[in-house]
This record gives sequence, C-alpha cells and structure tokens, in this order.
Amino acid sequence: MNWNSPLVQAGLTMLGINIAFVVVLMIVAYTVLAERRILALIQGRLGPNRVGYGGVLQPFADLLKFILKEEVIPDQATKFFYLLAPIIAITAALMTIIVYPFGPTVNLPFFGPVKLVIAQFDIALLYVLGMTSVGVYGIMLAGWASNSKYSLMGGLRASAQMISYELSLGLSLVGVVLMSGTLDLYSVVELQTNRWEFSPVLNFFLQPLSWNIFLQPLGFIIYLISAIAETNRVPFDLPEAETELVAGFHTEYSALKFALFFMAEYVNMFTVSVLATTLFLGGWNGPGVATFPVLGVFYFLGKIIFFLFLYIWLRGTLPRFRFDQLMNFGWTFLLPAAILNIIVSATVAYFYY
Amino acid sequence: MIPLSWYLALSAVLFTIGAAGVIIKRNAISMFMCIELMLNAVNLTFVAFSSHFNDVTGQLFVFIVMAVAASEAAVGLGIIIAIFRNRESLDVDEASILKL
Amino acid sequence: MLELTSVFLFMLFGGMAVGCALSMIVQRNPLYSAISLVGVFVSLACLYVTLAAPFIAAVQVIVYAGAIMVLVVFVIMLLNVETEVRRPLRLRYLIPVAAGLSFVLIAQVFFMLFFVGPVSSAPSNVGLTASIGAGLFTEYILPFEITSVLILMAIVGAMTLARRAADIPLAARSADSSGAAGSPFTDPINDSRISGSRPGLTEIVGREMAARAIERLESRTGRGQGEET
Repeated sequence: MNWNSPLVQAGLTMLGINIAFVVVLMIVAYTVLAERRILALIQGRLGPNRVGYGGVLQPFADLLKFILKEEVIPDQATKFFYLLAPIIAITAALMTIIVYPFGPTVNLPFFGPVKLVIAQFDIALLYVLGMTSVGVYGIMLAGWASNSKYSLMGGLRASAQMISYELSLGLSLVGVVLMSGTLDLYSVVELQTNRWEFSPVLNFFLQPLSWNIFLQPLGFIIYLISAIAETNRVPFDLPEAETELVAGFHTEYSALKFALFFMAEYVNMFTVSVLATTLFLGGWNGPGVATFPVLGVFYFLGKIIFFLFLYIWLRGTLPRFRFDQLMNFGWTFLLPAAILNIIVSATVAYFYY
Repeated sequence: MIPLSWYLALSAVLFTIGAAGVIIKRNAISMFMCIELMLNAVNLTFVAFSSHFNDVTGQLFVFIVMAVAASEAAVGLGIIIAIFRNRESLDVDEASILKL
Repeated sequence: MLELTSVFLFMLFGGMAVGCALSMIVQRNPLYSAISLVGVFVSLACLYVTLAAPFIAAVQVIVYAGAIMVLVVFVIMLLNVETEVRRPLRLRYLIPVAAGLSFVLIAQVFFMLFFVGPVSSAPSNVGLTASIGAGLFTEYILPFEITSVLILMAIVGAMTLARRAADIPLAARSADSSGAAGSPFTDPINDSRISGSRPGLTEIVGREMAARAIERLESRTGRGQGEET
C-alpha cells in the first residue's frame, strides 16, 4: 500500500478528524463533570457523585437524560433557523480542533516518523479565527429564531460581546505571529522548542523560557481575558445571565438541541485553551520532550487541563460584569492594550529578527 | 483540472443574480447584500485568473476589494440605521430625497 | 480520480453558491437573504481553496462571513426589519434593456466556455501568506496605504453617523411608540432610564463598526510586517 498517495492521505486525515472529534467530546464531557465537582468543592458542597465511582459515569447519565427528554419547539419559532442554530454552533466549535499539533514527530512502528497533527497548513491560525467568527451565527440565529424576548436579548448581547472581544482576541495573537513569522501552528510550536542556547543541562531545565508567553506577556493576558469573554464564561457570561435573562439565547431550547449548545460552549472553552497552549505555552514543548517525544502529548494535555481548571476556578470565584462595564472594558482597555502590544512587538521584531 | 472558463461562467452567473437583486429588491439592506454578491462574483474572477496566470496580483486585488467592502459595510449600515430611525422604514422608494 | 474529485468539488461548491444566491434574491425576509448570502460566501471560500488561494479563502470567511454579514444580521435583528411587500414594478421600460443585456452575458459565457483555455494547475506558492504579504508590501504598497486611508475615513464616517443617531434619546422614542415593550430599541435590562450612563445596543453597533475597521487596519499592518522581515 502506498502511504503517500493523496487518496490514502485523505482517508487517514478523515479518520484522524473523526478520532479527534470523539476524543474532544469525551474530554468535554469530563470537563463538565469536573466543573460540577470543583464548583461544589469551592462552594462547600459535594457535587454529583452517585453515578459510578465518584460520579465518573455522570456525563453518560446526562447524555441519556438529554436524549430521552421531550423535544419542545416553540409554536411561533422560525423552525428552520431554530433547528439550524445549534448545528452551526457545534460545527463551528468542533471544526477548529483539527489544526492543533498535539505532539512532536514520533517514530511509530510500521509507519516511520509521524507528525502528531491532523492537518497542517499555511493558514491554520486564520482558519481558527474564521471558524470562531462563524460560530457567532449559531447564537444570533438561536436568539432570533426562538421568537422570545429573553432569547433575542441574550442573542443580541452575546453577538455584541463576541464581536467586540473577537477584536482584542485577534489583535493579541498578532504579536505571536510577528515573533514567529508564520501562521502555521505547527511551525509556531516548533519555534518554541529551542529559542535560547544555554548549556545542555540548562537547556533541559530552562526549556519553558523558550515559550512565547515570556516574549508576549501582555498579549497572553489580553488573550486570556478576551478568550473568556469569547466563550461567554463567568465573569463575562451576560448572554446567559440566569438572574436577568432566564438562560439567554438558549432559553427556548430543550433536550438534545440544548445539549448541542451546551457542548458547543465547552468545546469552545476547550479550543481557546488549546490555542492558548499552542501559541503561548509552547504546545507540546517541555523539559525532556527532546529525548522522549511521547512526553509531549502529556505536557500538551496537562497545559490544557490547567487552562480548563482556571476557567472553572474563575467561575467559582468571580461575580458577573454589568453589560456597560463589559463593553467599556473591552473597547477602552483591552483593545488599546492589544494595539500597544502590536506596536511594541512590531518594533522589537523589526530590529531583532 | 477545472477549465478557467467554468469559473468565469460561474462568476458571470453570480454577478447577474446580484445585479438582478439590486433591481428587484426594495429593501435597503437587501440591496446592500446584492451589491456584496456582485463584488464577490468579481473576486472569484480575480482569484481564478490569479491561479491561471500563477500571479499573485489578482489575489492582492481581492484583498483590497474586501477592505473596501468592509468600509462600505461600516458606513452603509450606519446610513441604513440613520434612515430607519428617521423614516421607520427601509424602503428605498420612500427614501428618495437626500434629506433626513 | 483526482480529476473527477476536483470536478465534483467545483460542481458542489459552484452549485451551492448559485443556489444560495438565487435563494437570497427570492427570499422576502432580509434575515433569510442574509443567511443565504453567508452560504454564498462560504462556498466561494471553498472554491478559493480549490483554486490554491487558501489565504484569500480564510480572509473571505473572516471578513465577509465573520464581520460584514454578522453586522448585517445584527442590524436586521436590531431594526426588526419586517418582510418586504411586493409592489407593482416600476421602471417598466428597463425590461427590454435587461433582456438585451442578459443575452449579451449569455453570449459571453458561451464564448468563455468554448474559447478560453484550462487553468494551469502547476503547484505554486502564489496563494500562500508569505507571497501575498510580500506583494502587498512591495509592489502594491500604494494601493494598500490608500486602502488604509479609506478605512480611516470609514471609521470616522461610521462614528459620525452613529453619534448623530445616538443624540435622539432612546427612552423618549420608544415611550411614545405604541409597542414600547416589544421595541428592539430598548434593552429592558440596560434601559437608560434606570442608569443614565449606560450605552444602548444601538450605540454599541456604531462602535462595533468603527472598531471592526480599526481591527482590520491594525491586523493587516501587523501581519504584513511579520511576513516582510
């Protein structure tokens, strides 16, 4: 069998994409469980711990519940868009995950060296940003098609918030792109392997110094804040502020359609964590990866889990913003800061690269 | 591979649909969208030729067309909102005088 | 086999583009039109990928589908534009002109289909980011800079328009219209009557448009310089 023929390659890529979807959905399911348990811990409760040992089967019980629930479609809803919206949301969320490199080149038996990335292409970062911006449609359409005031308000708020923070999110990444000189995520990660040359021992321990976070601290902070806002999480969860808007854009959604929105939110949370890991925390890089490439996958997962924990932690700790505070913060602080970051990075990149 | 002419024909069809839309539609926003469609049809021609002649110029033009379309959207939608606030309607027939 | 695949892809995305475009002008509800137009943009982006122009495809999705159409949909939802009413045609004398012009167009299409050669499919790096950046910042620096001035003008224009609109007190407007409660102009939570300084959603739209343009200007400058060095 010729492994280099385009058709075989296409088939392998398809297979990889499907495996990645399944893996990500499993991670997402357990993120939900982890969130409930950790929130319970923060608030001095127990959390779901009945299904399986310590609640490990809870996600599947929830899924079963969602499947068995009655599907309610509001009478006055625009049915086509009402059904289309959750599909757009979950598709746009899932489509970005295929471009992230999750490990260095490893030697597999029978295959030879394999790059641990599903699809590597020149414009990977732009692709991610494009898919993120398409995801807004799911929320907007959900809000509009439900034909309910709470949904419409939630949808309008969510889209206003997402387009606003998308700016600072995109701008905060420009600094990294300037430092790397490429939009290809695999190359961006590879560039964070050995940026500085020390002695071999120091190279081992000081490997993290090569990560972009040390070159782009401001960019990292801006990215982190706008990513939280972009995924509509606490403290920026105004679109679904349950005390004011019932549940925001998904007020009228029930059963599996609600589950799709719910999953889309957590997949988005996962993908922004992966993007942060890839661009700022060196992806799969870490001490010892040069000798044991497989270690890279675990570093990668560990960093993602750190970010996911951060999200949950913030949710348990911080109160919610008010809408005007949110807008003011985005436009008058984050955006100028991101532009400043670009100016400084461009100057530095011009003189030192 | 696909002949260049197919892309050109597709672009012509899209442009015609856009032009027809501008004439048929009465709603300012719909007309605006038809204009965007026409711009896109032209973009397709640019990219097809760029690929045909292996020259980057066509794609740069597309880039600039997109920038122009973006600024057009910003100003155009601002005007549309202003018209709606004054007339409570987006019908272009009712907005026939250039006065608010 | 590959030949067949590319023909299939062209037919698929070309058909999608034409179908969505037709649906756009047939629909009477502007929101349906807008979503159909998004379909056109996405299928055109896929066509750009088959034409070996991935960068333009990505920018197409980001700028058209992700920015322009989101704004359009936002405005449609905000203004709560109702379905168009069909009226008798005006400008009846234009019908023969249109017929003549469409005949010319059909003739052109036939000419193209029979006399224009195939796309040279030599693999190239023309569509990649680096070559576009290099072209944009060397040979075509003047159009690029002029575009940036244009975008600056658009920012100022959008700000001016939005500001004048914001001068009309929102609370007063919606209070005297009969359907005040359902009016999309007031956010019941962020009503300016409750707290004087909170911006209404309409004001946010204006800011959004301006800042979109700022982003495009800034990110273009940033990305391009990265490729040049």
